Amino acid sequence: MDTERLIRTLAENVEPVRPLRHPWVRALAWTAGGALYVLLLVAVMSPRDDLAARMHDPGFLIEQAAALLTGVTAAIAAFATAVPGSRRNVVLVPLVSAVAWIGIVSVGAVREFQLAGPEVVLQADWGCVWTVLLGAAVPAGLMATMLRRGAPLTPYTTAALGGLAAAGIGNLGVCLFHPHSSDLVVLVWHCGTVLVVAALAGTAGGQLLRWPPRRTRALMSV
Amino acid sequence: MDERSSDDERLSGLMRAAQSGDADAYLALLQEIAPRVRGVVARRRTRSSAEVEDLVQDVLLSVHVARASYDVSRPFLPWLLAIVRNRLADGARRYARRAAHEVQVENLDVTFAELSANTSLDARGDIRTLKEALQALPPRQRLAIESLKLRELSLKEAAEVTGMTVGALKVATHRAIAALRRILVAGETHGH
Repeated sequence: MDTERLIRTLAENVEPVRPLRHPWVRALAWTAGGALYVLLLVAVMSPRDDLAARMHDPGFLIEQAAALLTGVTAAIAAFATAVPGSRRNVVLVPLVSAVAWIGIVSVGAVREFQLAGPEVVLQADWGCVWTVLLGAAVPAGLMATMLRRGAPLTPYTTAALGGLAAAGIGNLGVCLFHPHSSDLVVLVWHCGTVLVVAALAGTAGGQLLRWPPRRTRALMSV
Repeated sequence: MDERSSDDERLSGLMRAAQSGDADAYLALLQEIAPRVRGVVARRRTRSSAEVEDLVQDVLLSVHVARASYDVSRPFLPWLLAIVRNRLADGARRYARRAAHEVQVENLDVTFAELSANTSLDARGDIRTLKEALQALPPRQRLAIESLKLRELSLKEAAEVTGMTVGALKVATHRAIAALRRILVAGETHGH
């Protein structure tokens, strides 16, 4: 097919499309959906016994706020990278947030070590991993569906950001129903799981968010 | 600067109309951006015009599937250029993959492929007869056979040495083999 004929074919078959909303608006909608799921999950799993007390602990609140900020900024960046021509430095914001979050948890872990000394031991807590994954599952699915509506020109970056956002939100929910013994556990098993999820999502980005979709070439034969 | 921004605004307006399903606006938009895309693709690549056109079509199709992602409050051209860059990079990757697995057919002596190992030509084994048959060939055909089959030059090397094009060499070789077959078969018939 020659180019002029392709142009005419595309124009003749053009259908109205609903333009995507601004990445901020989409991230807000996604966060609302993710938060609803996480709250349902907390309700089903029943909140942790010491939740009321922890809500008065500034350290816990700052930690959760940093995790939430990481998730929300990662979501904004993921949706922004699905818009061609968007600023690339948008990806730096969630990275800074993630570093701040991990830094806050690390400071808590160091303090624990200073107070308790060698008695602080890192116990394997696979329950944290599974619950973070459970908390991230639905937000991740929602994120993938929404990202596919865009044009993720850099699918690996977009998918990694989407994974970071979903796992960040999932982790927040888990901290509301799954008690943990120390900040060291949070650092290794929670932060570690979130980072692994982001890395795995990024690795699979080419398959998860293939762009342009396979059907594009089929348009040639319209 | 003003001219550029008004140009961008016009394209942006056409895209906004296209998002609403306006076929005329979309046709005008695609017809306007196609030469621009072609210019960018042709500047960055040194491949054949067919490959350039293939990439232009790839960009237009990508614009088509991505048109919902265009935000009318933002400039149009950076959006378009991001897609062009993406398709160029993808095209380069595809080209590299293809080149890595591609066998250059032009460098194979395909003109002799039809002759199996045990042909009557081999069975004769009469070098003198073959030399005479070669001498009977027209000069260009003889030159092609000598370069490619006796001196075992590649098509490219033979083209440089003889001053003939690769295509002309292939044609001359093919005709020379057919002529040799005729001459040798005729000689065998007369010999019997």
